Amino acid sequence: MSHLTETELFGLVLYAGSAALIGIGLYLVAVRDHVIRILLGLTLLESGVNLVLVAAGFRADAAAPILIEGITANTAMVDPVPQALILTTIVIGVGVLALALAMALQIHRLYGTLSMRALLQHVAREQGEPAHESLPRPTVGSGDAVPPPAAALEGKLT
Amino acid sequence: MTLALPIALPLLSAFMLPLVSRANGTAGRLFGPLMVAANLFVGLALWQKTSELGPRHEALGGFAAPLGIQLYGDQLALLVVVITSLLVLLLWPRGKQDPVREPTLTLMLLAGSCGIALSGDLFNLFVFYELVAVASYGLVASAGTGPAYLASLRFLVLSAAGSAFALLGIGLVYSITGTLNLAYLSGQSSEVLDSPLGLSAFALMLIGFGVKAELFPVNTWVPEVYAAATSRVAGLLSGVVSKLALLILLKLLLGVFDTEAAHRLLLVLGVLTLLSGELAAYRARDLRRVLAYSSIAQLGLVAIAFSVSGAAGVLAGIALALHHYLAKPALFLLAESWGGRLALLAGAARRSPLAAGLFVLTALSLIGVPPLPGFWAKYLLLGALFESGHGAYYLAAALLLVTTVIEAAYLMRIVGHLFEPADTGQKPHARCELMPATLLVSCLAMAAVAAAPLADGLSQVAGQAVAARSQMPALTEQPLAMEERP
Repeated sequence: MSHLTETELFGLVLYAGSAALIGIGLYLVAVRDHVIRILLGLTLLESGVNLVLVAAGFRADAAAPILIEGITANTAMVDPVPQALILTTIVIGVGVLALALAMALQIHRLYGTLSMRALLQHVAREQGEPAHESLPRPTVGSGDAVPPPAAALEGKLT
Repeated sequence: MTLALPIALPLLSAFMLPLVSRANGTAGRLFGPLMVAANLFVGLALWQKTSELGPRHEALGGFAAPLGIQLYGDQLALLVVVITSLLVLLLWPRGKQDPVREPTLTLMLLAGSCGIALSGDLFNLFVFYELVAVASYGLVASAGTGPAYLASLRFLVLSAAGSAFALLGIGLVYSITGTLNLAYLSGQSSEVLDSPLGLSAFALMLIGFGVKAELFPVNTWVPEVYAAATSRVAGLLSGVVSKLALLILLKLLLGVFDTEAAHRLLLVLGVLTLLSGELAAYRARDLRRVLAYSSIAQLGLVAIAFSVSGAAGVLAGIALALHHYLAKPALFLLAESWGGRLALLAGAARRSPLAAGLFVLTALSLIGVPPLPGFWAKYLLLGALFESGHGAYYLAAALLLVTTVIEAAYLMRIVGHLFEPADTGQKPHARCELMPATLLVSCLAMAAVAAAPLADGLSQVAGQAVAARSQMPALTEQPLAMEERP
């Protein structure tokens, strides 16, 4: 295998890393049960996407796009536009995460559990009648499927 | 009068509302609607100007394109501004529990909506989209019940994941073309983005913006959110937010991704959305869920309309969207008192005859019975589909007719329940729900009467939107593509 240039190696590592981040984030969001795990996955997904954007702006032998000592407007710089984009995106991500955590806190106060499956069952029972005629009616006494709130707090980190 | 005014006014009011409310309670209650009315007048004034002078660009802060953010105001954008302000005014939250939170979020929703309508920069569009998203998460959760919080959290997760994908798509567009300015992107030849990379960028953005546009397969949030939120918020979401997401997709299709593959992709998703929505609505047994699935199906219709290239498709899409803007919030307002299992609706017509009459009228318009505006909108869509001349569009037209039959079945089933001789003791509607609903439905009726001039006006809007590509101002400096940069 021929020797990779610095740019290509850099690119490979960055893009592979961001693909891994996006993959892990997507897995956590789609598959996992605990709300905090899902939010963690969301953060990883957003970080992965931000990394792709920054990596797209990379140029070899270029400085960071900050005007400090020794760097004039004529120095070679990496593309500053993607960096400006992800600054905004990181802030949006932080805000949305804060909102999500606040909602998770409120949900925990109301239901005592943060397991998505248990929460959906709670809500389905609260709303009473099934919305579709083909689904079986959830019986009230099926305590095995829904763990009581005390037990839900322990051992819920699947 | 600057184009930034419809964005700045609601945004400023949103942050001033808590202060005004602190100073004087009554002033706080009036401040919000007053500002929205002011925004409506600004929108109308700008519309007037644009009709005389044509569409205009405005550079924000004096920074010139392509690096500066531009606002682009054509008739379509200002139409969205005007009708969004009108709907927000009609669906203003009652705010019984908290007179500050819901109105503030609604004002932010309005600011974000006007931003989406007027923005001429791809990333700026994304930022305003996120503003609308955060406002809608808050509004869904403001119902205060457990199911509302859970629905809002699940909506947040799905929507934020979608936004991450949309951002990836935007990043891909930037790395291919080197610019984010919509005008510059339209000015480029369509071959630049005709590659698999370009198509995947569009697919990513479809998934991302399709969450709010309630497209298949990312519309799983719709039934639970509409069931859990208050009816006014449901009306706002289905009426306003979904159309904005579709408007973003239209802007992308018209300017940036003017390729056949992109149009086909949207057609496929639109057809799947339509089918899944109508079939699920047929099976649903809860009024709110029927309306939620019906909303999905109608938005699928708008997506199909936008996927037809040319002014005819855009015209049909705008007509369908306008019709849905008026019809769906009216239905959700009527469903406020009638929520619950369909069987419980028996005999409700005797208790609230006006509401039942409004429901029947709106249902007939949704199905597409002449001379109601729903008929004209679907007729325009059928015309556009048959004109396009490609087999896939004929299939879509056939599916449209089949799903209309299904729609008639489940909507008339509800009407049958309403007029049953039995009586399950439903309470009559409150006036605060009936008044906006009556206003919306009378707008529908007026549209039925004024169909011809309305159609002329809308075709002018559509023509301007489509012709914008060839009328872009002369670009003196093209941005450098990726390979050419030092």
